[in-house]
Amino acid sequence: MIFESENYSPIERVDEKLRRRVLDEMGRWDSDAIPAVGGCTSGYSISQSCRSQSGTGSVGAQRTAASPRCGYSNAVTESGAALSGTDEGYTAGCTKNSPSLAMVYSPNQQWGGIYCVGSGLDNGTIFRELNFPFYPTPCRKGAGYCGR
Amino acid sequence: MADKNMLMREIQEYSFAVIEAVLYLDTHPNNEKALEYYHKYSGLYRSTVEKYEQSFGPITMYSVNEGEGWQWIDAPWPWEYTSSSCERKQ
Repeated sequence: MIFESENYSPIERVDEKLRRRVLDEMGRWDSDAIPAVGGCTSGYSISQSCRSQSGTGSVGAQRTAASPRCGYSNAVTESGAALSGTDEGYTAGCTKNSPSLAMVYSPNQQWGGIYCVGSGLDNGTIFRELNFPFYPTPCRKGAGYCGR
Repeated sequence: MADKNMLMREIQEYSFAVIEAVLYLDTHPNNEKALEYYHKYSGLYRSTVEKYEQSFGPITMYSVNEGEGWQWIDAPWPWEYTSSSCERKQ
């Protein structure tokens, strides 16, 4: 996937209609809350009360667009039509008994911080920034970073 | 045999480095540093494999030199390796 700019966030990639729909579901339907397209505004955030109660929150710097109302029944499809009976239990942006769905993005990886090949094989990645050893210890010695 | 294990380890390191560079290049196809890295380690991979195979026989079935007999069965079978090296079990 090649995007015109590598630095667009998801909110900048979606069109106006979808943006308004998402914000409407969030109960944030007022023009002040809509961030300008093309700008990295900080105004697009979700208050604590909007977060899914059973969720663990977002990971790292991810911004989530979660629907706050998992119980609301008037779910509509993208085209605006009411859902049929076969979708019983469905509510917009949520799945039954689970945290609501989220839209995530990650910054584009930059080349750099490359391990020497031996450490790369040992660590399972040649990229220092992607080395997250999942050991039940606070840190692990001997990562062997060889410089840029 | 230390040489053999060392060469195999080198091959594994280069092979892994190339895989990582390829994954990076899939999303950054024009990154010159990544291309340079790929070029360096794919070259080292090929030359090290060649060096290994000249001394210790084919690593894959695509590099059997059948002119010298069917060498493929000369190396240990997978279940004949010891856990920590390329040595054949006694």
